[in-house]
Amino acid sequence: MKIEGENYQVFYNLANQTVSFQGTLRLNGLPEYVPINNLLHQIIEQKPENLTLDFKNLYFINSSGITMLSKFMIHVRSQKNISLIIIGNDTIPWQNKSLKNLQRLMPSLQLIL
Amino acid sequence: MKNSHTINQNESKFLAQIALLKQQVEELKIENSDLEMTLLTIIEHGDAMEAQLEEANKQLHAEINEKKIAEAKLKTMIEAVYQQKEDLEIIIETLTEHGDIIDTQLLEELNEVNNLATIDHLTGLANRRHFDQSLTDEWRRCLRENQPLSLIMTDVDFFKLYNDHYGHQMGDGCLTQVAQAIDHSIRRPADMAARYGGEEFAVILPNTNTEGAFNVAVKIQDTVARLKILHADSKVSEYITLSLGIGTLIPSSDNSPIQLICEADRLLYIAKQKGRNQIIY
Repeated sequence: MKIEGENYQVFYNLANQTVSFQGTLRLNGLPEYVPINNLLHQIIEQKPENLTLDFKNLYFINSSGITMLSKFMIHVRSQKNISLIIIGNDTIPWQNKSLKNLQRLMPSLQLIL
Repeated sequence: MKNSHTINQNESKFLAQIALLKQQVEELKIENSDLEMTLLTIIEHGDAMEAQLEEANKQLHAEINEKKIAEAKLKTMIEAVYQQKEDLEIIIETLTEHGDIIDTQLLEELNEVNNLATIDHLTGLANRRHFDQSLTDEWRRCLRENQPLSLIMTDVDFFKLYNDHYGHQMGDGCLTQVAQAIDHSIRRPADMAARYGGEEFAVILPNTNTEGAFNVAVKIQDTVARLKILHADSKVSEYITLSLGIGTLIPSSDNSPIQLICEADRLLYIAKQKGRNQIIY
């Protein structure tokens, strides 16, 4: 499963159950994030034991994007039986604080920076 | 006769007693019946009361259960609302902090873009576009304040020959060093050095008369001379030298920035014509 835009790519690798985010996400408001949100929810509906979100190469995400991710964290938290890992890159300014805040929404997630 | 009379009297008494007793028995029977009726009424009333109490008790228990269920639901709802409140607080905090970081990142990118738009990539000096804007701004300011505005135009002598001899990479290095020397020769915040094009540089000197501009030009020449950049094919020196033209005007409605550029450029041309490595004003 893959979603591509002008400056970004989001794709799911079933083999290692990893969603990779790449480029810069500057979509206009939450409605434009619906396809990515749907992709994430479809993966959760398959009830994987583990899921990894890889943000290592996501250089920019706007506030609507971080809101979508926050809501997704709450959704995954409610599933209770999915082990979530987030991989970040602490040299990218937004990731250090915002990914730690996502962990506050789902304390059980493993954050690797 | 007497005995017979007595017997009759006794019999009468006895019969009267029997009648009285019968009456008493009847009265007792009525009383008994009344009592039985009362007892029955009491029993039935007791049963009814008991049934009513049991019903009331059942209702009470049902109400208590309902209240317990409602209380549990309310507790669950309060917990859910509290969780949502906590989530929202975290999301707001996340968004606020994220917004701040993104603002900073965008501002840095904007500054970088602005720099790219105004800075000459090779030398780090202001580019031609920035020079044109600054000259117009300083022209207007000096016009308002009735102050002189000087412009130094300078050219690296025999730069084409330098490039031919040492190659373009060395040529770029030479231009960068000369640019830095020019930049280090000006001190006031409003003074500005720019790459005008190719090997030509310009220095804007607001509130500066010809004498002041000449001092700056000499300093530029000296600083470049101290670099001792070898120039094997120069016809005036073994090192890189500059030719400089200084134009000075007091801005007025009769002249313009273009005129100042033309004047400085004309004097630079004369400096070259006269053999280069000199200042003409």
